[in-house]
This record gives sequence, structure tokens and C-alpha cells, in this order.
Amino acid sequence: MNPSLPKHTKQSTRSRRVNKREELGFLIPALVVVLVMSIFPLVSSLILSLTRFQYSSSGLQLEWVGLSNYAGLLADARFWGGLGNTLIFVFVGVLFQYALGFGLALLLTQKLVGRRFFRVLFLIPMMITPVAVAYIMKMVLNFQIGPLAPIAKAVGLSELPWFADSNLSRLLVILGDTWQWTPFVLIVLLAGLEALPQEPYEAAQVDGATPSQMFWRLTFPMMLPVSSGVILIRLVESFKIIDMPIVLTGGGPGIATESTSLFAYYTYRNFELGKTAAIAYLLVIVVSVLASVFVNTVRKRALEVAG
Amino acid sequence: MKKTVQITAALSLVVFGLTLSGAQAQALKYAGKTITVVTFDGPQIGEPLRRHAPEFERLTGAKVNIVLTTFGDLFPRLLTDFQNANSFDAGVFAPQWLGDYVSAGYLAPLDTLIKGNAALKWGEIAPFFREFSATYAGKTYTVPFDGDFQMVYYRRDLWANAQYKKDFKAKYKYDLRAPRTWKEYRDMAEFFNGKIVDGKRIYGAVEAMARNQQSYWILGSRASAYMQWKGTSQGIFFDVANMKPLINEEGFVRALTEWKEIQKFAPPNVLNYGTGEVRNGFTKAGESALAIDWGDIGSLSADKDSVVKGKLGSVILPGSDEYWDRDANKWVKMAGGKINYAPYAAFGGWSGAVNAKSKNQDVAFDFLAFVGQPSNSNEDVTIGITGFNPYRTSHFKSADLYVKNGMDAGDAKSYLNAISSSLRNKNLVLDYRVPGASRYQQAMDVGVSEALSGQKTPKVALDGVAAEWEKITNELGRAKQLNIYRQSLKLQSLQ
Repeated sequence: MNPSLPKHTKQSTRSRRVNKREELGFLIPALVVVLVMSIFPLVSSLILSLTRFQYSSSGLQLEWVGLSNYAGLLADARFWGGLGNTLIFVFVGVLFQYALGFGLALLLTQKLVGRRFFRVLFLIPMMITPVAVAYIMKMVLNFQIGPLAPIAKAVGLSELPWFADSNLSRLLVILGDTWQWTPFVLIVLLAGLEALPQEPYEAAQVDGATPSQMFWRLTFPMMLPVSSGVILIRLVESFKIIDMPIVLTGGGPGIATESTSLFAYYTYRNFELGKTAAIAYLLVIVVSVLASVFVNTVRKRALEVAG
Repeated sequence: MKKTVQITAALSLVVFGLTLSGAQAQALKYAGKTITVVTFDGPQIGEPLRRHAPEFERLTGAKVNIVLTTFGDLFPRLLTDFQNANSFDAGVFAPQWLGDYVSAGYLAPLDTLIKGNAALKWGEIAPFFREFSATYAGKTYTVPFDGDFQMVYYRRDLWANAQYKKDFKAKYKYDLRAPRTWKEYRDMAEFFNGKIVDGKRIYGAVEAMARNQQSYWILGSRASAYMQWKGTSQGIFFDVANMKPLINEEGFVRALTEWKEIQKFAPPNVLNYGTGEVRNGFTKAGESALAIDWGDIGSLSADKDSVVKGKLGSVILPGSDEYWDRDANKWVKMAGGKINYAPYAAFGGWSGAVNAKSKNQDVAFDFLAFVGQPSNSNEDVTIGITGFNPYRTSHFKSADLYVKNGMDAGDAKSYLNAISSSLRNKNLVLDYRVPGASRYQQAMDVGVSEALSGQKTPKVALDGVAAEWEKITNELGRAKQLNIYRQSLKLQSLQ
């Protein structure tokens, strides 16, 4: 019999217990933060979305209404209009941002004079608070007295019904959002471009590939992981668009530029808390589904390329 | 030794000073009490409250915290606070929200406190604000600070031009004068649109037409004379018998149709004009001959960068020689060629109210009364940054204070006449003050915007608003809403 064995087992059990306690000690703060900051709001807003808030002198009254907030929203043309607008802002806006961001990133990888200056300059819109950007855009896009007015008047832009026509109003919002968020796309893509290996380019050059061929056959495919990452981030973020439409158009004309988030804000302003929570949840569902579809599509494509 | 004496003397002085200031503080009525007042930071509205707070503190010993928030946040923030924390002793907000706040018992009736405060000079406040705007179901809940109703502004210099007078008469077969009806307003906007004034092309009119920028109040102003002719208690928004919306009645449809036409005589981007653009466009850019606004353009005309100083004409909202009889379902001509005027108290004017659960109701009320008393309000209503417009008889007795604060004497005279004739009118239109007022308003905002942008015809857009209003009324309870609406109009409840 080995006398040291029980002692050793005792020690290691105790040490495991101590370790578990230490682990728990480290985990609890993080768990509390996640519970308080994430799980609790999620659960409470879910409950709120199933109620109707009524105020009375006796205090807060939440009337349980089941799914009627959701049913009401799904039958509300304003909700669907808002969702349609949001999808336009998301897909058209992110397309613009990606195309512009990629173009500018490619430009900044070239050995141009003042390259560093332009890098900083392009990033400025992203550093400004979104509401301030919206007000700047409101001035810039005022084709009557804004800084672009002389050009706008010369090319006839000032005569267009920017605030009466639904599509033109949406375009204004997309332009504003593009101006603000292209720098984010640019900075991520620029980092990706600078990390690309040089060997494939040297080999392609030896084989006599044209710049266009090198872009479509090398740069673009090699940038797919970075591109899909930045597109996913922008897609999810764009669904929350509110600053630009509220400042530029107030959601008008009619509801032509009212995004889902703006609709939720207006609903909150009326103190319809249950309905506001329901809008938020519906938006979460839409974003989750679209994000999953996007991620799966990209994964399949990546596997095809790899295979 | 000398040093010890010096230190002892200094300490004695400090102790004496502290004792003296403590004694003084004790002598002050509200020493040691603190109140918190919440309002809108435009910076209007917040500005006068913040400016008057230190003087009130000096006189009473109370500490006044002014909490400022955005307009959009004010309504829910007050509601949330009334429900839970009750951290606000008073609020300065839109009387339109009384429907929500009073019906839930959140506000303290102020009748007794008002009677006990001679400095407030309650009887000097124009009857409309005392009897309708500040009251609810027979009790007084607010101290008015602001006389909110819209008026028409025009360029006196253009109207006085002999050539324009001649040309106008030749074209429209009547004299060029301050517009008396909406038809005249339209003609004048058309006439002046495109004229070159001071080397610059001007437009006929500027009005707030943007969404989420208070355009729904302009529609109320344009429809009021078509919809109300029997006095304030008639109301223009709901049928007082059954709460059926009147928003899609012919009077409103005609008003919206006429308003849409004004776009032809307005800047190309007028659909994005809020009240800020209207005020700046008219007073600073001098871009139009006519404008519709609350009293603000009057006080802003005195600003340094105003181009309309000495040229400003103000007039009561245009009326109509016929009205829409909602019961008979037809247009009826006014007898004897008279004009029906129905100035609309859009928004109703910023007013202060006291939280029913505040432990310092007396302090909170005294602060509101201090801000509203003539010695302060007489000055406040002449300053553009306050956002407060005249609402007391003393405010339009003399133009001296307005002239002292930079307004041209001729402008001030015209401005005060317009205010006086609006306030003396027994047919002033009250804004709707029912629970969910902001929901009704938002539905109207969307409908107005759809019609102005041409997405829908005025009739179809207003039918949509009416349907939405019905939905809201049904959800909040028709009988309850009807009784509250009737009470706001000083009509008896229907049991």
C-alpha cells in the first residue's frame, strides 16, 4: 500500500475545489454583466412586447395582450413600408459603401502623393457622431443654399423634387449613410489588401496577366473573407439606421424614408412600449434570418473556392 | 502672538460670516428645499427658466434644478417619471398632454395656490388660456407662459408699394391688403412669387411642410375657419357626440388641397421646411412675401441679422366667407358677407404644471408663478430666444418693451394688433387634449406628408388619418376619450 496515495488524492481534490472556486470567482462578474446587460433586457423586452402599457395614478399597469402587438404590426402597412425602406437602405447603401470603399482602398494602396493625408481625410466622416453627420449632410444636400448649390443648379439637380419624390428622398438618406460609413469599409478592406501575399501577383505578372485579370482572379477572391466580414457588419448595423432619416427627412415624404428603427422610435415617443418592443423583436428576427442566409452563402462559396 | 491674534480674528470673521449667511438662509421662505423642473431645450423654453432660476433662489433660498431634454423625449420622460421616480417636481410642457397626465392623476390642481399668489396676476392672462388651455374638467392645472397661436406674416414694404397695389388690383379685382381669407392669401402668394425684391427673386410664401416638423399644426390653422364657427366649445377634430374623427370632413380636405397648391409659390424644397427654415427663410433670408408661424417671427424680426425689421406686417389667421356645416354636410355662406375667423391655438403654449406627488408643491408652484408673473413675462415675450409669445393683456397694451428690445415701432404695432385680435376672438380653436394626443398627431403627420408630396390625394390621405384615429380611439376606449375631449372643450360629460 502506498501511504502517499490518499494524501495526494486529498490534495488534488482540494486543489481542484480551490481551482473551481477561483474559476467561479473569475466567471461570476462576467456572468453578472451578461445577465444584467444582455439577458435581462432581452427577456424583459420580450415580455414587454406581449403587453400593452397603460398609465394610471395607481402606477404602472401592464395589460397582457399576448401576440396582438405582433399581429397588429404584421397587419400594419406602416410596419411593412418601414421594413421595405430599411431593406433598400441596407442593400443599396451597403453595395455603395462596399464598391466605394474597395475602390478607395485600392487607390490608397498605390504609391500616390499625399497618400497618408488622404487616409486620414477619408476617415473623418466615421469619427463624427452620426447625428452631426446627418446635419452636415442636410446642409450639403440642400441644393438651394448648400455648398453644392452652384453645381447642383448648373446641372439641374436643384430642380429635382428631392423631398417630394420617394425614391429621391431615399437616395438622399443612402448618400448620407454612404458618406458616413464608407470609411469604415475602406479601413477594413485596406488592412486586408495590405496583408495579401505578394507571390501570386509576381507569378501573375510573369505570366503576363493584366491589372483587371489580377483584380478579378487574385485580389477579389483573396479578399472574400475580409469582404464578407465587413459586409456582414455593415448589413447588421445598417438595419438600425435612424439618425440619417430622422434628421434629413423625418421619415417623409409620407413614410417613404421611415426605417423600422425610426418607426420604433416614433412609437416609443407615443409611449407605446409594448408595440415598440415588438417592432424591435421583429427586426431582430429579420436581421438574424438575413445574416444567417448571408453567412451560409458565403461559407458555401468559400468551400467551393477551396474545393 | 501677533500671528495667533490674526488667525483668531480671521476665524472669528469666518464663523460670523457663516452664522450670518445661515441666519439669512433661515429667514428665506424655502431655505434648504430643492426642486427639479424638467422642460424642453430648444434652447427656447429652457432659456427663460434657467435665467430666472438664480433670482428665485436668491429670493426664496430654494435650490432649483432645471433638467433639459429634447422635445421628442419630453412626453415619455415625464410619463416615466410620474409613474416611478417622481423626481420632477414640475414640468413645462405642451397643454395638449394634459389629457394624458390629468386623466391619470399625475398633476396637482393649482386653483388654491393661484388664488394665494397675487404677483402672478392671474386675471391678466387672456381668457382663452385661463379658461381653456390651463384648465381641465373644471380645475386649473397649469400656469401659462406662452401664447401659442399661429398668425400670418407679410412684408409691409411690398404691400405699400404703389406699383404692386395697382398691378394686384388689375389682376385680382380687389385691393392689395393684409389677407383676410385663405383665397386672398393664395392670390397674394401667387402675385408676389417671382418678384425681384432688393435684387433677389422672392417666393410667394413659406410654410412648414416637412414631416416631423409640426406641419400638422399648419393644417389645423388652415382648416379652422372652415370647421368652427360656433365658438371654442364646438371643436374641429372630433364629433362631440360620438368621437368620430372630423379630420376627413370637407373643411379639412379643402384646407389641405389649398395648402398643397401653395407649393407652386414656395421654394422648391419647401417640403423639407420646418418652423426653423420658415423663420430663417422669412426673417433672415427675406425669401418670401408671406409666412405662417406662431408669434416667433415677430420677436425674431428684431434680431441683428433680420432683413425684415421695419417691414413686418402681422395679421390674424385668414378666415373664410363660408364654413363646412358637418351636420348638414354642405358649405354655408356667412351671413351679410362676413368673414368667419377661427385662430388656432396650435400646441396651446408652453405651460408649467406641478407633480401631484411632489413633496415641494408650494415651491414648485411659486417658481412657475415667478417665471410667469408680469415683471418677468412682460420682458420674456419680447425676446426671441425665450420661445414665449404674448398671452397676457399687459403684453399687448404697449409696444414700448418690444421697441426697447429692438423691434421696430411699426412692426410692433402690427404684431400686437394681430395678437390682440386673435386673443379677443371667441372662436379660438383649441388643440385636442385627449390621452394619446401624440398618437393622433403622428397619424396626422404621416397623412399630411403623403398628401403634400403627392403620394395620395388630400381626401385619400385624410381618410387614412381618420381610419387611424378611429383605431386609436377604439383602443383607448371611445367613451373615455369622448368624455375627456368634451371636458377639454368645457362641455358636460356624457354618461
